[in-house]
Amino acid sequence: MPTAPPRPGTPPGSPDNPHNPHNLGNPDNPDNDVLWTRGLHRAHAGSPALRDLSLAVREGEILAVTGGRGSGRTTLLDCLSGRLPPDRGEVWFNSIPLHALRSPALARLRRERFGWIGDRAQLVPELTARENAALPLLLAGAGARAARRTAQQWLERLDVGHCAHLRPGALDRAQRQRVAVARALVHRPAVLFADEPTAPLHGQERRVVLRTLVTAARSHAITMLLACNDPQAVELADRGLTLCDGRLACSLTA
Amino acid sequence: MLAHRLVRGRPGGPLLVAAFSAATAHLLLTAFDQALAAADRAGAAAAAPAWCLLPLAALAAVARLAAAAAEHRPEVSGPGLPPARRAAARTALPALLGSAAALPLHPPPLAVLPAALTLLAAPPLLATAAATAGAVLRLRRRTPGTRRTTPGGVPVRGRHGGRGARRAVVWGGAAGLGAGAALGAVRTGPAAVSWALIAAGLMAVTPGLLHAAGRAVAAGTPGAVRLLAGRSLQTEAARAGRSLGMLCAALALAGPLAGTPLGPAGTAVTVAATAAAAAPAVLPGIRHTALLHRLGAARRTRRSLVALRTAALLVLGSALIAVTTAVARPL
Repeated sequence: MPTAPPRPGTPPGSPDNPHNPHNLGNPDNPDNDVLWTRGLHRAHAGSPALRDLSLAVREGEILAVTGGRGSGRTTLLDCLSGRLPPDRGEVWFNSIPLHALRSPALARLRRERFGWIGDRAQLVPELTARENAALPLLLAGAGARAARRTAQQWLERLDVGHCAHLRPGALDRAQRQRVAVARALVHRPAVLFADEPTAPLHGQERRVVLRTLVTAARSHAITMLLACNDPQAVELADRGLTLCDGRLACSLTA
Repeated sequence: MLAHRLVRGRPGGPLLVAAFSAATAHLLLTAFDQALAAADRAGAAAAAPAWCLLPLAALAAVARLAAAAAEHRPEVSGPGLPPARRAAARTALPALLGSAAALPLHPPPLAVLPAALTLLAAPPLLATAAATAGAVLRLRRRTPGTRRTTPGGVPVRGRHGGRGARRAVVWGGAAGLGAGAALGAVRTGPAAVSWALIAAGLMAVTPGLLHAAGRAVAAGTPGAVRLLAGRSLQTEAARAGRSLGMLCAALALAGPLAGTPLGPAGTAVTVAATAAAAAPAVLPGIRHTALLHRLGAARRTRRSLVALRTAALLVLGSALIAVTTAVARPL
């Protein structure tokens, strides 16, 4: 089980530890874990948000993380995407130790391998929808024309191709959120972090955006961490985790 | 006590207001001293205090800035301290204290004591009035409900205000600039009128020029740096342009201004206050920092962004200063 915490008292480098990334020969350790964490602890100004959390995410898996407000969902996503350094514990992406990387290397990882969607679209107001969607490619130094072309294709796939020349101010919320989805997928990330991606939307739009997101992730073999409290999202995911006060409350496999 | 602590939150604004009020009050007192000394020649007596209007205007601009800092504190306006009172406390009080600090430097002559005392009371009152007027102007402009928004609730920035209106302002500014330069060239009329036209023209023309500079920076199919720098210049053109125009006018006219009754010290105070008032609008730093961090923008990208923006502002600013210095004639 990828979610099983390591046996107590097992040293991290030991061949008995299923979460040792170098331990590829062990049949207990599925070597297709793309992202995993062990003993993760993180506090905000003294109050703990994550306490000794261990979990692993398989390649291509869609993992729904649920839990109430203050359960540590956002902090977990921030720690796993290298935005917040953990206070204690380890975070590994493939065989890269995120907890030991310096900020330029983490920024590069976020730019090239990770995608992100937040609970608000957070587009740059002075750029058009197409330019907003192309931003990750442009920041990674891709050719300006090619980046715009790819962004346009993604916008069309997400049914907002006709708004490509408009600025975020002229779009409605659902359209803005779709542009944010295009921005998150445009550079074909290995892992997509979606923190309440449907929070600003109404029922119908919520279903459509969620379905689009999940379909896109599946068809491009993108691993996705989906933090939300939407029951639909949990149904669409491969597996669900529930956090409570920064600890793993339960794990469900669909 | 609570009000005092709330007002003290960020010391930068009130301290600046106090410092510039002290300097302005000192200038005014010196001007009044000169006026008293030359009381027999009415024209010469009035000239020096009249020139002090310039540092007073600069002081009002600094006070507007301090009032702006008071606005962005929702945790204070929540409990119910009205913004007008907060802004007044952040500007009127420091202005009064600052200008009162200048009083001991000017002992009143005994022979004209009653008149001198009246005059002594005037500079602090003038400085305070200028500072408070600046703060109140700022608040009136920011009254909620006056901003146009799109259906999405995003504020519209002068887009529907009419490109025609913007163009009219730019052409008006250019005409003012031209008229000022022409007055300077034919050497008729007072130089002050020529300067005022040039300064007003600069403030009207610079936003348009900055917008054009932003378009030039983001021309073609730009990469991330040119795109973000150019578009941010275009977005901030209205606000940053006016301030840049004001700063350029102050810097370009500093030379001729030092030869007026204001003197080098008065010029220095005026230019410094103008620079302090213009700097935050001209150099607002990098936009969307959190988002760029989130998307993993390299530090090099962010540095190039700031460098490109600053370079565009410097090129435009120095060109404007060079042109203005060439056309502004000394008094």
